[in-house]
Amino acid sequence: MRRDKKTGACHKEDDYESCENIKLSKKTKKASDMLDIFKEPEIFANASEIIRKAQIIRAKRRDKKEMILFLAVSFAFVFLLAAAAFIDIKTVIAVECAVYFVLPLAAVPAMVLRKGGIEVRK
Amino acid sequence: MMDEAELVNDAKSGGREALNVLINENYNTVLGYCIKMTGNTSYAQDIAQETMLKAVLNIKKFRPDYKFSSWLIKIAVNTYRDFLRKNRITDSIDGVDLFEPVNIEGYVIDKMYCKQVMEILLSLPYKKRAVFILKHYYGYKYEEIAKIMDCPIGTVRSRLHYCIDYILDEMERRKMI
Repeated sequence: MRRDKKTGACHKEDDYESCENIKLSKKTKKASDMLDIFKEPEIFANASEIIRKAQIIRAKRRDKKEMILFLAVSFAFVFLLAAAAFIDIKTVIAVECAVYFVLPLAAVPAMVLRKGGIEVRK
Repeated sequence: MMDEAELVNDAKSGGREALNVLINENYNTVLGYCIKMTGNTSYAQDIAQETMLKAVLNIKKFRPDYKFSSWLIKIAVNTYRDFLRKNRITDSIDGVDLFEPVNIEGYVIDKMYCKQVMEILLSLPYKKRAVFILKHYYGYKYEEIAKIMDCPIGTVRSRLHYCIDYILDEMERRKMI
């Protein structure tokens, strides 16, 4: 058995037990037995509840991400339009019209995709 | 019957049944570890639940070079550390469900003796206690403990050695051995 000179710790995996045996033999064995006061729990885990909570947390995280993305895109769009208005107001109006026309049409498939993406397979 | 790797793969791809099995099979191991760390059944249940929740949320980050139970213990170690920081609690030994005493006379002695053993364990700093519990009660190897605790193997060795010496000294001081 090899031990560290400074700390006295065992060097190898197998030394852990031999440390006990050689150093304090009976006393350590008794101490080891005395430490066995625990009985392993036999509690039934409520797995469905845990998974349900996890789904709620995931949904909240996803909503937060989407909200941040939505705000970022909205602000970028508005600032871009404001900047473009200085150059050519007619183009800005045309772009706005196109966006307001396309947005409701894009919303439905986006919502369907969003709903389909979060389900946990049974 | 699927083995652990298959269950994990299925759980990673969203299989609810696989997740159920993994949680049910490992819950008592995690809870047992938490009870030994906290000495309090109620805290232990909270930490075990939190651990399982984190595991479900991060199942995709699980790497197969760990055993699933080791990964859960690693999460439990971190959750317990966060729990101590957040609640600023001192370890309590109330409410520990230990073992069934055989008779009334033995009951009083056993309770006192269990309390003393628990006091000794809880008087260890939590990082050292975690190393000792993982080695003594779960038989993990130095390398596995080092991975779980995120520290070098040398640290594991010295912590374990410190714990053994400390426990023996304390038991002697209390005239238990």
